[in-house]
Amino acid sequence: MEEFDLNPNEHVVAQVREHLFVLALKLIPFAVLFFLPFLFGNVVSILSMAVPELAAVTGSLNMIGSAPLRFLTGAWWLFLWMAAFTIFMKFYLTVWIITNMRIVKITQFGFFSREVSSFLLLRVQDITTEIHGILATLIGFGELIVQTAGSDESFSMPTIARPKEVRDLIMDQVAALHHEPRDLSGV
Amino acid sequence: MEPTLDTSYSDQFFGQSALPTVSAIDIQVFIPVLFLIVLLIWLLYSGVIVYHWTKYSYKSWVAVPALGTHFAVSLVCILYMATGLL
Repeated sequence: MEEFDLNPNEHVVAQVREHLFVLALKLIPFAVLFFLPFLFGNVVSILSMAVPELAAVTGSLNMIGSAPLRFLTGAWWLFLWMAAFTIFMKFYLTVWIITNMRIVKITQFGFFSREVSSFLLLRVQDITTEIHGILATLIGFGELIVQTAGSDESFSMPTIARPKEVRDLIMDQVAALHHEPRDLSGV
Repeated sequence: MEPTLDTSYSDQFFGQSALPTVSAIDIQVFIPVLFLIVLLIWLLYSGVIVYHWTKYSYKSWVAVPALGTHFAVSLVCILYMATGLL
């Protein structure tokens, strides 16, 4: 791992990300926009029949299945795919890595824009889970807020999958640390 | 088909027109150029995402299928675009 190295006594317990339902919600507009080219040819044809002068401007675009329309459609789908894949990439590369000693919070904001913060489990003072709404309750996603000692700063991850289970996991690791002190040098 | 030059309007004021006007634009002339531009943008984008996935996915098994899916879907879109060049 280039961004952080695991301590010799440290191992990864879990990797936590946003719920897949949240990703699906973000991708729905792209699914809708996928069908836009099918409407475009029909709209241009109708407008060209209604306004003959328009046909001179649109040229061969008003023919459904025409070469220019296929080109523009392919280009539209390609850009749509690139945008959707970027959203998936940001979803997957934004993660909380929970080890037996600390939590590493990695947030991918976009291309070449990334934030990595790390806090020791021993400094965890309070963990709060917030689940609001019918969908969040039924599907099982919410916000996890971790308050650390010595500062007002808190770490949170909204729309995390199974926040209660993650909270319990972190608390178990914190309890284990307090009962069995570990060598944290190098962390 | 070469674009026709309509200089009648500007000739009234400037004699020989300094800037020729185009009365009919043939989209077929621009499609190959647009295709190259789109291809370059896609190549640049693909390089960037391969960099991000290989560097930041922490050797996750998802990286290879994700990148494979990207190239497969992109190939379909590009081939469909290419049919518009014919």
